[in-house]
Amino acid sequence: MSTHDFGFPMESLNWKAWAPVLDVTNATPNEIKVLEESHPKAKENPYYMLLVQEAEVLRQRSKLFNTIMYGPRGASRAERELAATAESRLNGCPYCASVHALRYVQMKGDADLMQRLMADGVETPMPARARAIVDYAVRLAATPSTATADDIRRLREEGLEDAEILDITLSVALFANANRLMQTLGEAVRP
Amino acid sequence: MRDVIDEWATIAPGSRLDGLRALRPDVRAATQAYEDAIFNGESGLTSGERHAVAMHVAEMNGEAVMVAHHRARSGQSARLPALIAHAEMLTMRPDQATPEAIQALLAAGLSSRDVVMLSQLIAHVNYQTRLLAGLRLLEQTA
Repeated sequence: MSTHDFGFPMESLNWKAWAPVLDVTNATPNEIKVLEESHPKAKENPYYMLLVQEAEVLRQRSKLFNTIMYGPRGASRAERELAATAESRLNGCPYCASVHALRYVQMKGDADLMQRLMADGVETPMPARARAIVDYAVRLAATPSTATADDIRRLREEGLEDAEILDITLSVALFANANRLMQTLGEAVRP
Repeated sequence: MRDVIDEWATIAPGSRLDGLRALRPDVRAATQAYEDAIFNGESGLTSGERHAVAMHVAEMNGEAVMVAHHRARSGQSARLPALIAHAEMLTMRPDQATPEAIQALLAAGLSSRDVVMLSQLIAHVNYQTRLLAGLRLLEQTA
């Protein structure tokens, strides 16, 4: 049994919690506020209805998530999504991978590359700049990290500035977090 | 505002990495606030249990500074082995997660809210260790 067994469809999925979630009709005003700060549709999403039971932790984690993934940054949103999706594919989080694969394409990422990454995995062929980002993401995602100075040098050779490399690092660090929440507190289900 | 990552990565005020991190002030603030909410918040998990689990996650990631920080604050409990076993699965083999693992924690006396805290804590330490690893590489290749 592995969470990889579900496969990695590039479509919107649902998510089912493995632990009891908060009933929205019982939510306190503070919990409602945290949900609204976290995601526009958090109140309909069992993932957030589970996490909001620890409301202050979710509030701070959502601030971190939203600024790393959606804040104005050096690294393009598409490249942050590419790193996040590669790591989610590697770790075996189909829900995370599908959300961020679709967002990568929305952000004008290479749809063909993403389809192959989802179907075949992180080793699928890709242009040098994407390859450098994915290789760094895969090695930094390992426990413990196996990323090296050479990975950073390759990113620089591909034209990434240090602020952009920091943004990619943050995206990978964040998905070491996001995958572990989403793939261990519940599971992806097809709509 | 500086955060615990600056301390662990020994990023000196005014250094190149300090300047780089200063470009993302909201990340620094949220990283520290997330840390505080997990370790200082009220929870069914004792402070000693939370630090003991964090110590093990840091150890699996080879982060000696974090291990020392959490060891000094860690405690014991009868259910700690179950919490550490869960931390090991989440950290090393997250693809082996099952609903039964969650049921085992609930059966060990954790509430649904405690399970959320435990998972957030394990996930948070895994975030911090990658950020530290990346920052060290950026420093090495300056």
